[in-house]
Amino acid sequence: MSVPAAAVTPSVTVDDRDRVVPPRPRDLTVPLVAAGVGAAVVAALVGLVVGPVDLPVGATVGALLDRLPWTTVEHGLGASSLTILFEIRWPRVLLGLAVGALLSGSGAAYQGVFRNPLADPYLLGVAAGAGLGATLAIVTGTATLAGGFALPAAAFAGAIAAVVVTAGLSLRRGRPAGPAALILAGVAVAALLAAVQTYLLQRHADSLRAVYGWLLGRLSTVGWAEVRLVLPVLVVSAVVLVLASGAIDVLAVGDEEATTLGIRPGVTRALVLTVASLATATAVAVSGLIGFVGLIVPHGVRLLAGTRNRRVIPLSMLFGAAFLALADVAARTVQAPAELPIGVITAFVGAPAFLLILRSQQGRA
Amino acid sequence: MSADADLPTPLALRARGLGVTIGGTPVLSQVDLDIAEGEWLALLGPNGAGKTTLVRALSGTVRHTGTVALTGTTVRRPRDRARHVAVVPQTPIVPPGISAFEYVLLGRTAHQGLRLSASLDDRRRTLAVLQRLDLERFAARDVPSLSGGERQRVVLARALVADAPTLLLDEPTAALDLGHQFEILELLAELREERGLTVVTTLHDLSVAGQFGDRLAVLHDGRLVAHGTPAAVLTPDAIGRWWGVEATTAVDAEGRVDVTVHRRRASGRPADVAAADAAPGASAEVVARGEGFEPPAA
Repeated sequence: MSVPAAAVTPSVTVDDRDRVVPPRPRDLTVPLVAAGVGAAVVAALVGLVVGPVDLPVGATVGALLDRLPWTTVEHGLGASSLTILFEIRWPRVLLGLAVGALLSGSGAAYQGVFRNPLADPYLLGVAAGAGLGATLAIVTGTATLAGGFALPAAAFAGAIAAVVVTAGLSLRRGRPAGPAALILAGVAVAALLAAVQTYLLQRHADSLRAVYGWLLGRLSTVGWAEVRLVLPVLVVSAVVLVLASGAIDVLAVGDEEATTLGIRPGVTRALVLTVASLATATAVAVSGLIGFVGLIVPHGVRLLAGTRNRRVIPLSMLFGAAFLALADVAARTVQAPAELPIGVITAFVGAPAFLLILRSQQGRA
Repeated sequence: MSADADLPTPLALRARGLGVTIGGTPVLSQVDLDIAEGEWLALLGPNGAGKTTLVRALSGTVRHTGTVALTGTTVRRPRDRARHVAVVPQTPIVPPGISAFEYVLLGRTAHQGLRLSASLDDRRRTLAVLQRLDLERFAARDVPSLSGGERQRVVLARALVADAPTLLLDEPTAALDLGHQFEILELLAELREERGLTVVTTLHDLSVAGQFGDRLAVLHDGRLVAHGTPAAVLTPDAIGRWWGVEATTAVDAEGRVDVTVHRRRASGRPADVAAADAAPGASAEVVARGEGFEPPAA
């Protein structure tokens, strides 16, 4: 075994970031998860205190603790500050955290099951379907029905319908074909739906601005309603994706080898894509099309934690939550009192960050 | 193929009527194969004969007709099959940035719970196999950065750590130089002794098959055309028929066969093949004479 001497790692109990040897099975996961939780907490706090009315940090924390059962904390915030904190900022911050976690976790899952670093959660037509659904709702004037919930409902329905059509088109004699067939079907469905959407917009130029605003994404909330919609989906998708992350790692050796190792690749991929698509559709329904999050957050996490999905998926959810909450702070403060679409922020930060990540990966390879 | 009738030991694997059709073309048809526990079966045949397809059918990765029974039971779930049969593919897909340790650990998948998280026991076994194959110092190295011989041992380690009684290897030495080919095969022979493994390998080198296989099976156009001991299968006649080359064979006292292939002369007529007593244990030299070539010195 002739290997250049310099390249040989010193023998036994080796442990570069890959926690090799028995007595230490836990490794870096715990500190990384702690860092992710910390980032989300800090981002939430920033989101709570920063705004047209700056709230003092100490008093804000005090007011939050005061809300916990069996604790009473003197915080000194007035009634109007409390209203801003609990009825405006807190739901919005939570929505940002949830949407960030959903998009990033789904992105990491899509990249894992497709073995494709450029896969993003909009790959199978979620974005195009949601866009068409929202456009239909807006041009037909039904968007404002049901207290404004007709719009997210239409976007959600469009997203799910697009994914179902994509999955159906990729079947071969009723059986799931490989990932390439799915991706190609997704591209075709997205192109078709985008064409229909463009046609509708041509016919209803007056709706252009409203549709455009929706497409770029925003986290403006109507109190707690959106948060209540999103949280159950977040819990379910977090549980399923974290449980499936080990199987996604096995899929990295290809479907055939994964089968010989004891996995059912088709079942795993179908389960993960169903949950991730549901998560993405939910996020898109309440926040519009926020781009790049599902791409840059998982790639950033891989720089920190390596390529194993076991770590990448949960960490992407935590850091994605933090990232989107902070992006929302920027969206509502950069041009205050006007709001920038959050999709502009994520793309403006995301595109250069993505380039940097790609370049540093090339440097290591 | 009559050798199947009364095998002395229990069967590790029994295939009946295996057929595979890809894109309307049958690539494997009506293959019956019994593999005894603890034997080393070498699958031979020219390119395109269906060797890899047979391995894929036996490992459950291609849709086939017929049945494959493992140690007496027909297994359908990939997980149960993986506990019976560990597979070394011809060209393994190595994920980017995976360390040798994590790659070998994948072999424990079928023993892990719902989340497929590695237990301490999984890690201990992985380390033990790495040590056994002298790979410990590469544990933290990225698999793609290893040399061909090292990488093949890592892939073999992944199959071993599964603790399956049967190893199925598709051309385990195809990408290796002569020295590393024999290193891997000798290692396999040792491991088979140590662990009582059943070994099934596809091989394209007839001499290698004749040296290592207990029994050989020859595939041709998707059918099993010969099956038996090396001395019975590797005759100059058979080699000429299935591979289209002139060869001499030498059988040693242990029934192992050496095959020497000779260049066909430009004016060569079909080989005039001498029949030979090729019973195991008997030492014999079998010579195929083409026009104008000298048999090599024994």
